[in-house]
Amino acid sequence: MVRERAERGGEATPSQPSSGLNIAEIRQLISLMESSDIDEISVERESEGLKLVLRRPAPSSGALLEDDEDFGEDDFAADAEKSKSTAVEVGAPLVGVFRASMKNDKPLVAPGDIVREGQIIAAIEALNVLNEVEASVAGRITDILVTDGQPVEYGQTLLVIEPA
Amino acid sequence: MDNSESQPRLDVAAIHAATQGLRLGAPLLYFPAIGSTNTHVMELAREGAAEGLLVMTDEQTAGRGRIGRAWKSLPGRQLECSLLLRPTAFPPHFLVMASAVAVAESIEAVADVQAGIKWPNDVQVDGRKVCGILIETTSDFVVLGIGLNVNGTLADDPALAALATTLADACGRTLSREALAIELLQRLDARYADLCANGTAAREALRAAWRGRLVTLGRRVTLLQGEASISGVAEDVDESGALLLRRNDGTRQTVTWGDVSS
Repeated sequence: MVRERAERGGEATPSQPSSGLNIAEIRQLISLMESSDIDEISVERESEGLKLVLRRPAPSSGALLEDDEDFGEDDFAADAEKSKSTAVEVGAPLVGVFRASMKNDKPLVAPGDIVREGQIIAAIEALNVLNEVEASVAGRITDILVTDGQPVEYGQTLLVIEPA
Repeated sequence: MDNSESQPRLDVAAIHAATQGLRLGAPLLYFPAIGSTNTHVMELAREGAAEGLLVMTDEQTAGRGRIGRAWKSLPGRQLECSLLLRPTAFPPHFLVMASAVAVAESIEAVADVQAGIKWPNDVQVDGRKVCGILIETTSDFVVLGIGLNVNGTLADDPALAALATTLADACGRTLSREALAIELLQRLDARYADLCANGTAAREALRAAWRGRLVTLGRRVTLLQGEASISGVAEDVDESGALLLRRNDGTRQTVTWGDVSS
C-alpha cells in the first residue's frame, strides 16, 4: 500500500527530524526541484549541524548504470555486460501509483518494445493527476520493474531501456 | 426536467467576449462533438500550442475520466472543456486545488447552491458529484479537463444518480452554461495568475481555500486503492495536498492516491 510515512501515536503534525528541517519543508524543496530545471539543492545550517543535499536522481535524467564488473570471456557474457553497461533506468518522477496505461486498457509498453525518445511509456498518478513518464532515450524496453497499480517512491526505477 | 429536449449550442462567442484579456481561454476552439477534449488538447500541445488554449464541446463521444473511466455525456447540457497550461513556477498539485476551488466557487456564484470537495478534487453538491476534473501532465505541459453536469437529469439512471447529480437537479432550474464557463475561467485565471506571481503566499491562500471546502476531513473514510483498501479518519491534508489518515491501529498514513468511498 502507499506509505510515504507512517507514524504511531497521537501526533497531530509530522514528526520533526533532528536536522531542523521538517518533512513538509523537505517536500517543498522536492516540489521546487521537480518544477524547475534545478538538479541539486543544498541546505546548510552550521549552527544546527545540518547539511542536506537533494539531488535529482540519476535514473530520471537518463544516466547510465555504472559498470562495476569485468567483462566475461565469451561473447554472450560480453554482450550481457555491454547491455548492462549501457542500460538506462527510468525513475519515478514523484511519489504515487504506477499506471501502465493512461486509459486502463492495453499497457503503453511491454518488454521488447522499441521506443523513441520522449515517447510516453507509463504514468504516475498522485492526487488524481496523471503524470506521464517519457522514455529518456530511444531504445528497447528490457525490463519493467513495477506492476500496474503499484505504489512507487520518488526516483524508484520503473523501467529499463537498452539504448538503440 | 428531462434529457429529451434538444439543446442550443454553447454560445462560445459570448464566452470569448466575456473573457477577453484573460491569460486562460484563448485561443478558444469549439467542436459540436469531439472524442475527448483532453486528448485533443494534448495533441495540440505536442504540436507546440501556447498556454491558455481552451477546447470546448457540446458532446464528448469518448470522454474519459481518470485511468480511462467512462464519462457519461449529456449532450448540450454539460460544460465540457480542456485547458492547456504550461506552469513553471509551481507543481501540478496546486492545479488540483485551483481547479476544484474555482469550480466550487463558480457553482455557488451561478447556481446558488453550496459546493464541497471530496478529496482531492471531486466537486460535490448535496453529497453527490457534479464535476469531474482530469489533469494530465508531461514534462512540458499540463492539460486540465473539466466536465461539469449543468442541466438535464441523471434520475433516469438510479445507480448513477445515487453518486452523481446535475446542478439543475440540485437547484431546480435550468442554468446558463455560458455564465458558468465565464465565471469558471475568470476564477481559474485569477488563481493561476496569483500562483504564477505570488509564490508561497498564493499557494498558502489556495491551499486554505481548498482545505476549507474538503468534505472528507474529519470523517471516517475508506480509500480504495486498486484491489485493496485502507480505512481510518481523514484528519487533515499536508502542504502538498496529500491526505493524512489516522488508521484504526493509531498510525497516521500519508496518502497520495485512491478513491474515497465513504
